[in-house]
Amino acid sequence: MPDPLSSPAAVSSQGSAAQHSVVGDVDTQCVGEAFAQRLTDDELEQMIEHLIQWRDRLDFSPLAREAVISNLDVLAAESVRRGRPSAALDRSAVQTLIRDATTDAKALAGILQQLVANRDGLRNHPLTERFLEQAIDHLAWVADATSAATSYVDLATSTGGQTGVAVLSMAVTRASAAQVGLAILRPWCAFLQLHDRVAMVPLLQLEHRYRVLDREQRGMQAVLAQLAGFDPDYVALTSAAVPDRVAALAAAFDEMLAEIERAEEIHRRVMQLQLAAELMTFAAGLRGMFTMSGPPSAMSFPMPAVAGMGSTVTLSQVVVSAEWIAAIRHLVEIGAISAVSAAEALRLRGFTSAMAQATDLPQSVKDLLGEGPTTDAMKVTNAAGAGAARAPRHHILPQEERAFFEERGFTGDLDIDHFTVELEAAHHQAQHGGGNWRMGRTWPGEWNRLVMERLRRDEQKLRRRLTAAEIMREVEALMVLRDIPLRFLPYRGQ
Amino acid sequence: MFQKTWSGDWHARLLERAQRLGYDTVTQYVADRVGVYLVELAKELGSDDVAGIQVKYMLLEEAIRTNTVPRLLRDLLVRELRHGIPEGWQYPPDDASRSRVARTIGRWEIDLKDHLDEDATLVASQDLMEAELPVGWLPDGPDDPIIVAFVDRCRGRMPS
Repeated sequence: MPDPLSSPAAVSSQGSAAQHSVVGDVDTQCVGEAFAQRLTDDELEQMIEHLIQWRDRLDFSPLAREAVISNLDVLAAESVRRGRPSAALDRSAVQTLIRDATTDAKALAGILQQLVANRDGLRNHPLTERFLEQAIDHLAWVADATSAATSYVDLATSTGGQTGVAVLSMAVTRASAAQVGLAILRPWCAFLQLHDRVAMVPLLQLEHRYRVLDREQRGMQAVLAQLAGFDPDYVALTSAAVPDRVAALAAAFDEMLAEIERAEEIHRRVMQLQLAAELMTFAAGLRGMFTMSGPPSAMSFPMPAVAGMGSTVTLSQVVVSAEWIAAIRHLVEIGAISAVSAAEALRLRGFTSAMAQATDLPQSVKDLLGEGPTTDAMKVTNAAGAGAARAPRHHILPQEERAFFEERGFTGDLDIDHFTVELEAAHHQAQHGGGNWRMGRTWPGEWNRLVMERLRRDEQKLRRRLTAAEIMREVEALMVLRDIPLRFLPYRGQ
Repeated sequence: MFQKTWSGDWHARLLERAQRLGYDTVTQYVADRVGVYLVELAKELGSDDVAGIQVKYMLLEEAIRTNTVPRLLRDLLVRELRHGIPEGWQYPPDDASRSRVARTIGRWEIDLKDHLDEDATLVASQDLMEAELPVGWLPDGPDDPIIVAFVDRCRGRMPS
């Protein structure tokens, strides 16, 4: 019988009465660094997985959760000290982001369902009904993005290694894009709610209401269109522009209210006074959806609200969870998210540089948060310049062999179009023949031959098909040996 | 960095780095670094302008000039195995361990085809995937008898 203290795996999997006290220790009392150092590598990883499961349990008191989270911090620090990355922590960080996006999306789905149920509001005319239908499509896009993120987390889990991190960063990009999309969809839904009520009162002309909705929808859709390519740099750029878009929507919202008030003045003596008064009360409640909100996972860990974000958008209260910050920090450390994107994700939550100083976020992220919109920082960080003409993207998994990869699981979210790399047309040095891997014009042909030869040869030896994870590992090996950056971007044509 | 790595005369660059470290050739440099993986060697020779595959190409060119290709084949296989199965040999094999061995040999042979017998390498690899070697085994260097025998077979030479 091994010492239960040094054998947490056995403890957590068996959970017998005799060992329960030890589980209790790890889950409710703080463990020290000495404890963490005594664990073997495998035990450390298993303990981390165990604590993540406990942390994510909903029936836990905030105090107990706090103990679990601080123990996770100790174990996470230990895995960093050993230079042995924890796959469980990597996954968990991304899943925190995905979970938040999913929760937010569900809340909006509830609102849209209410609007669909009301036949007398937006749905009382085909012209306005279509805005509701399109909002549902946009929310479906968010759901698809988070579900793609989950697919990438699964692939990253079975792949591991550097490719695992590169694939995780694809998941982060999807989750971030979903969050940015939600940041604009949230006030848009409030705007639709207002219009739904306005449509029920004969105060404003249908044509006018349609024009307003159409105009504002264009702005909102412009944001979503920029996200749709899932290019990490564009997602960060778009995110930086969201507060202004939200402010524009808020102004349109207020303008609509003013119009209602004016119309109500005119109609007061003859029209539905009672309905209009109710509408104004309802609208006052909706106004809150125009503030930037903290992540849903934050509820049990409120941070003091900081006033004056310096933006046109009013910030009533900010809540950011320790867990969420830990997730962002971890993703920056493993390179699954750039400092620019991390800063942008935090800013979207109304997180300020003053708040950042009180956390253990990487200095690079803190610096970016101190500078206002990250658009300028991005230009510096990304030498190629996001949005400008950039290096061509090359399929890592040869397009000509699409069927081969589809048969091995590269479909849907794992379509080979999602796995391209950006390479400058390199200066090819011509000397020495034979076995020299060339750049420039010969790149696609030579690379494709190399990849297919490797994969087919492996299958010949194994007498079976390779799995998607095995393929990714081998492609990683080929890329690393050739100094090709492990940063997967979606294909966007040449 | 990709662009830096593949710009200019990288052959000259590698040789110059090895010489700066006090060796006449890249082969001599790596001889003191038995079992170290190509990517690590590349980082040692140039933190941001040398790729692992360039080290492999250089070694092959030098070996062809000095008629020492068989030894290089063994030397490179040792590096691949130590990198590809760091936890050591597994016996009895399962699907995952067979796959690891097959893919590790695949990484090794891809740039060395001209010096290997394709069919013989396939059969030898499939035998090695099932081989009953001590659990945890890893080759220490190019003279490890298992490595010598395996590479001989891959070159189309039956063990004597």
